[in-house]
Amino acid sequence: MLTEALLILLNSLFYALVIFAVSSGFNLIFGVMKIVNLAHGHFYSLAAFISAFLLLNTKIEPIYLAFLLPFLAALITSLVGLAFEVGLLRPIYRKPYYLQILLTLGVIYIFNDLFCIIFGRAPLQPTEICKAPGSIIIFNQLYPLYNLIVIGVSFTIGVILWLLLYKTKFGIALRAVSLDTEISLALGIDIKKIYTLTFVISVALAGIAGGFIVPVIAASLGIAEEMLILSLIVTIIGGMGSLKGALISSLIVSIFRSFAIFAFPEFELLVIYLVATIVLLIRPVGLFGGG
Amino acid sequence: MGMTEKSKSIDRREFLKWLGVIATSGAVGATLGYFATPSKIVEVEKPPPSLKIPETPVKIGFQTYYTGAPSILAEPIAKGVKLAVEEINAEGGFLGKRPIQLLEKDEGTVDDTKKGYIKLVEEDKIDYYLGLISSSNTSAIAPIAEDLGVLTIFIGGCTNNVFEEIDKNPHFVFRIMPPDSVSHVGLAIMTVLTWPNIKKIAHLHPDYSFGHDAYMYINAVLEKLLPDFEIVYEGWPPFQATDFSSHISSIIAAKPDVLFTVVWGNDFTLFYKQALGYGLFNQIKVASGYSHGITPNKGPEKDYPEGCIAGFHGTYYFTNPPIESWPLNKQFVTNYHNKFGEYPNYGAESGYAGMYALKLAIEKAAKITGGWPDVDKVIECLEGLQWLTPSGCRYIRPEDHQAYKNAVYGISSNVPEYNFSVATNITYIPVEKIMQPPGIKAIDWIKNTWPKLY
Repeated sequence: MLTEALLILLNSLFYALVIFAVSSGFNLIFGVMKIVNLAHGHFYSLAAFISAFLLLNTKIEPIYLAFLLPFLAALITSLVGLAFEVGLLRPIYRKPYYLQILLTLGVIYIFNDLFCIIFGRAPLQPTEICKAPGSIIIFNQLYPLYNLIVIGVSFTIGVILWLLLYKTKFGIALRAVSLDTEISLALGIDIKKIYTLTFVISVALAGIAGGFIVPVIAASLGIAEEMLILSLIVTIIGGMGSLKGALISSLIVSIFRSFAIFAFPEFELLVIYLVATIVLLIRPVGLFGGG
Repeated sequence: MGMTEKSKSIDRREFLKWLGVIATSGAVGATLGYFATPSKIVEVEKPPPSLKIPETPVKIGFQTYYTGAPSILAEPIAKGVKLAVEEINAEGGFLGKRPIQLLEKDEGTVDDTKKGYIKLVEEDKIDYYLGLISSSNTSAIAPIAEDLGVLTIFIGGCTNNVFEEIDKNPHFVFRIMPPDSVSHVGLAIMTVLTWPNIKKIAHLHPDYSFGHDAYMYINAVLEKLLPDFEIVYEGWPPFQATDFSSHISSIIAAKPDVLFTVVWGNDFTLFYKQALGYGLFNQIKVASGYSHGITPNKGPEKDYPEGCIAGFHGTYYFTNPPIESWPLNKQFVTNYHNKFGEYPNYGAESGYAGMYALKLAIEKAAKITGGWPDVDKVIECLEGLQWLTPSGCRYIRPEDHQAYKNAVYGISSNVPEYNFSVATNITYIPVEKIMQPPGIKAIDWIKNTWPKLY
């Protein structure tokens, strides 16, 4: 029983860190830029598609060099994100929320059609890179080594993000802007640059997550929406604008889901929304929000 | 029947005797005692000169998923239908005189599908309708078809509810693929036939009515076939789930003898790829109702473990009947592969068979009426129609307009001829053993009339 519980925790960690990588970006964009970016999941999905395409259409030897391709996919996605922020988001920064929602919702439809045109309608799943590391015995059970790589990459992203936000001047400026834009402006902080960098970093985070997870889950229409909903739930539970909240709530969501699958499988879908509902009732700003 | 009440094992001899299983790769299986190997593949009944047949096209409305997750299973239906249309039109169309004009619309949500159907009927003025794979849509369209009076041949959408609850006395509605109960019941029988000593069962099914029905039917059959079995795990991933890791770990932790699953399409591909990394297939036997149901070229690759039960809705796998003994399958598979560059799945074959059912019914009706038949005469000729298809003999039951045939399953294997996993050791299960008589629900028929075979 103990080994089963430990394995379930390990699976939870795998799922949680992927959600964290994406939702932290979503959280950052809202926390700093006050933008609800409904297309955030599609940047994750775009990187997944690009990564899958590159992995399926290039033959790299030795295979461990192929692990660079998801980073390349994230870089390309970041450039798309840069164009998106400069071209589409900047004009609506000070506009009402409903315009943000309409714009980003429209972008979702455009992305979906572009995915179909460029990548086709069939899912893309580059499994060779996933199989290459093999499996190891953990807690008396075979476990895919690739999942551990994803855990490692996601954890590293989290550490880098924390260092960026709390140990650099850029991070100080970013946090200042998130607290008060006008005073930050008065202090000489270049708001536009902060916004742009924040958006690109957030998209890059989602892109790295998408690029690395795609050998496990396949790039297909639908993964963007799934990740957006999870990001929203995690943000509700953790609190808007809180990185710590994003991490803790990703773990909560994932652990509850994994244990529901093990013990109460019929409640798998329900449990995540139940947790979100309870948190909203007890603390509407989220566990670490409102501070 | 069978052994004494204290016996705790299935009486295999009695089971096989009751079942009457035909287990061979050579035989097609006889439905209702009819078996023939036709020498001529496409027979067009050219009408005598006296018959009044207009030469305007026949408009047939068609809907299936061209986009979205279900398209992996549904889009081949369109290909099968179009191949049939091309073949029929090459001979001049229905009765050699009326070419088919196929009017296509996307299948989608229930509302969108209804709107598409009504537009086809009221604006495009279709003569007949074929299509659909979603059970939600066939459930919704059946009563509309009866109201609007359009001959509607569902290819899929195989929930038992359509003819057991919603449209109990159909007039205009027919269905080609067998109902879901046949697929799930057949899977359970095939599993017990293959592994008679299983005791601990795990289930993994998509969390909607289709998956829950599978759970119900499989368990109902197991209660009749296995003296003591225990369900040690049940998992309900949402449709279009992407991460099965927690389910896989939980299944392995439960240590079942066999895993039943009707996860299908891309979801199944994701599941098995993820399960490989956990060594699930090394520890647990897997019985899948739909593992080999999508286009074979896009289905499980050679990394799919051998020796698992391979399913395709109990309907058709392209290697059977073997092309040496069933020229219809040879013609169908060859033409399909030449046209589309891939092998047909059961959806493609059912779409093809459905279009030919309509053709044959029109021909029969025209001979009776002496001219182009009205819809009621075509319906009369569809009822009780027995026709040869690439997958074998099919029969449309007059009472509930459901076509049925022997159910078919295989065992996953790797063979040199194909660069993907194939189903071999094809086993035919007689349809009369897994399809309830008219007038009784499938689940009631199993629970109340099947003997316990131990």
